[in-house]
Amino acid sequence: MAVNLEDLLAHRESVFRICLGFSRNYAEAEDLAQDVYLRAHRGLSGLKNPATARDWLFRIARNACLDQAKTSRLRRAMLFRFATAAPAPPDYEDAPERDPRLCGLKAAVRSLSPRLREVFVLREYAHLSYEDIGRTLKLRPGTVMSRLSRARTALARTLQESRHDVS
Amino acid sequence: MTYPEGKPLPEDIARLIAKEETAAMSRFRARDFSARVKRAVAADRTPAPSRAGDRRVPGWAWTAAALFVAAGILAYVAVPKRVPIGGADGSARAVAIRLPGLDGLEAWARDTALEPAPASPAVGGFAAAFAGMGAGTAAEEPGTFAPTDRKIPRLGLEKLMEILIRDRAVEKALSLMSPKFKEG
Repeated sequence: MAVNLEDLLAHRESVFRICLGFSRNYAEAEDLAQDVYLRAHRGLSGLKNPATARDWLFRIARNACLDQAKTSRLRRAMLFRFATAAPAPPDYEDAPERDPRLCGLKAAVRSLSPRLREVFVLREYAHLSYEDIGRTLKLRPGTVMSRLSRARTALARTLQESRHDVS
Repeated sequence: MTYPEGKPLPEDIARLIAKEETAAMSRFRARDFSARVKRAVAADRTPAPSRAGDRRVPGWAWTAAALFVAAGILAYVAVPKRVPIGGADGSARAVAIRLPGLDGLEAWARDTALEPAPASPAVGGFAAAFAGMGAGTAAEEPGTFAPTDRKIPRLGLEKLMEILIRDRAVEKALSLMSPKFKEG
């Protein structure tokens, strides 16, 4: 049975959660999620096994987020002065970006290496099981767990260091 | 099989993530994301990538091409250039000799075929110095000055001609490359 866009949209919340974990704010996450679905729609004809559509979609989300992170890092490097002078403004009233601790967390997540970040986001934001993460990233569950443990440790250390810097 | 999960996520970090998630998800659910995606898909005119477009040149082909180019550059740089006998304009002489009915040209070609072209003061000075060294046998006649404390290498006529021809070829190449370069 062929997979269509409607089938893929059933997983939109998980896709959005993944994008939220990788992105800097809500607006960026929503744009990213839309981009994920555009990519998926273009590649639907190439999906060989419909049973793996969910893992395939999450993999597209992971790739789109990492691509976007790379592009935005390049853009920020080119416009370093402007980027540091004007941080992204909160885009709605109770935006979490207004919380400096949350800003610190987002920065700490972005500072993780892509290998650790992807496992962390899929687990802590998308709430995927270890098996699902393993299937999405084509890793063994043992590798997923060890990377997750390293990501948590690195994140806690980064946040602790940033608190020390502030105080 | 069980795996050690390692260090759990610290409580404060988990709370922060939950706070962000709650705010973002309530907003996301309030919006009609599916309609937005469908609109975007309808507006998307990008054609699906063709199978031919997916094909990529394999890595070994790139490596082979790079090695080939590197070998070409190496050969170009390392192998000494051959200047045609008669200098850079030797081919012009050869053509002039073969041209029927152009007596003046033919005569010029025969006259100038064996004698080196006059060296310019700028570049030809080097060649002139070598020519002087080659003619040093004439300067060793009794009664003429010849420095005895310096050992001047003796060059054969063939070697001298080769140096002169190279000198002339370099001069010609420089004048071709830069219009500002004039003799003298």
